Amino acid sequence: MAKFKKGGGKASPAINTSALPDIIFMLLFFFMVATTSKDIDPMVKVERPKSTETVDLTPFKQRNEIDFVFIGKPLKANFGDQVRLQLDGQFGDPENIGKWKRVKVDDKGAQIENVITCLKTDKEVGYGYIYKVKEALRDVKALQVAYGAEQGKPKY
Amino acid sequence: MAKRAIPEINAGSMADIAFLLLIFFLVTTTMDKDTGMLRQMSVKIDVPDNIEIDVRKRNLMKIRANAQNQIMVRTDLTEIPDIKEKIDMFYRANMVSETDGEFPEYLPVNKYTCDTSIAAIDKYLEATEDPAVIEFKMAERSEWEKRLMVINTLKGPYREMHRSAAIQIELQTKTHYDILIAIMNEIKSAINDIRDEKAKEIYGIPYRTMVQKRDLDGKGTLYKDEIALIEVLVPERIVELKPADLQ
Repeated sequence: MAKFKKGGGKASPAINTSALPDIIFMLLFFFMVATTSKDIDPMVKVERPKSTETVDLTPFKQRNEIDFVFIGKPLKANFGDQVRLQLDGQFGDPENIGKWKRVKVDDKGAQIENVITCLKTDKEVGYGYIYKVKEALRDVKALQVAYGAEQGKPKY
Repeated sequence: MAKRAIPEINAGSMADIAFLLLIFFLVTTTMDKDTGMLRQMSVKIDVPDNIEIDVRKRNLMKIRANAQNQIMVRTDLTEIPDIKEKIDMFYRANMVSETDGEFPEYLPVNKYTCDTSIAAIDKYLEATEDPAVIEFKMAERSEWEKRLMVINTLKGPYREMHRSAAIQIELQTKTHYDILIAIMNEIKSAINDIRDEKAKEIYGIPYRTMVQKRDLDGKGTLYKDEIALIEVLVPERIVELKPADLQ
């Protein structure tokens, strides 16, 4: 049976917080396992279209066989409102991508044919721009391309 | 040793440390996976002007889309969800037997045709020195070797879609990227459905499942031969054409 103290008892007992670190650590480990590190901060707006037939690119990332390129309009207004290409931390144009790709591949010490280029493109980018980027990649024999898309039911 | 009372360590700030780490991970990582559609572009080669490449109409499926999101498949105005059915028809019309002259023909491939073709290429390779021609012919040779592999695995000849049969996508410069993805999605889902069916017939396991398992496999070698075989049986030939209005 519970015992009741008579009188006093205004001061509430201290809550035992010794399990708090455990809870936080659990959360921490969950996030460490479930997320991947952000390596590039996007400088252009990229809203990905959806598709049901996508492939998970994580294995290629782990094997260091993929480079990411962003295509879209700059997030900051002072960079203009034209569609640009983001090559790592810099803005670029289709003419620059070939040289950039070669440097990336040389750094990896891989064959250019084996390294995929993932074009993370915004929904509203015109196909003409994408075509120019692809032709520039074809010129340096980087023939494997991945169109960035989110897994999900397409809008149309 | 005499038992001594160990002073209790104050673990009150442990939670703070854990929080700090947690917040660090929250900031520097992302939840979303990188997903995309893989495309293999073709090598640029110079075709001499005097060579006319004979591509018959029945072997082509041209999909066009303009900047107003109107889509045309062959000669019909089509809505995006209806593309899949047309692609399916394109592949299946003559798959089992020749029935429809509007769709690509299927040709039988047997061991004899493979052997003679490889022999012919080898003979050609001996005679030439031009590196571009050698590269081109070597690619052709590996195609025949793949066909030979299929015949050896299936223990018999098979019917193959005409080698020039292809799906062409022609967009305009202002056509939005999501239209391209939507069209690709329809094409890929049609092709993957047919591949699923073939794979189930031969191996009892759908093609998509095999691909998923291969990707999860660390080395990426699981089901490698099976996937290669299905991809020879049901080829995916998608060509993106240069936008007509691009300067």
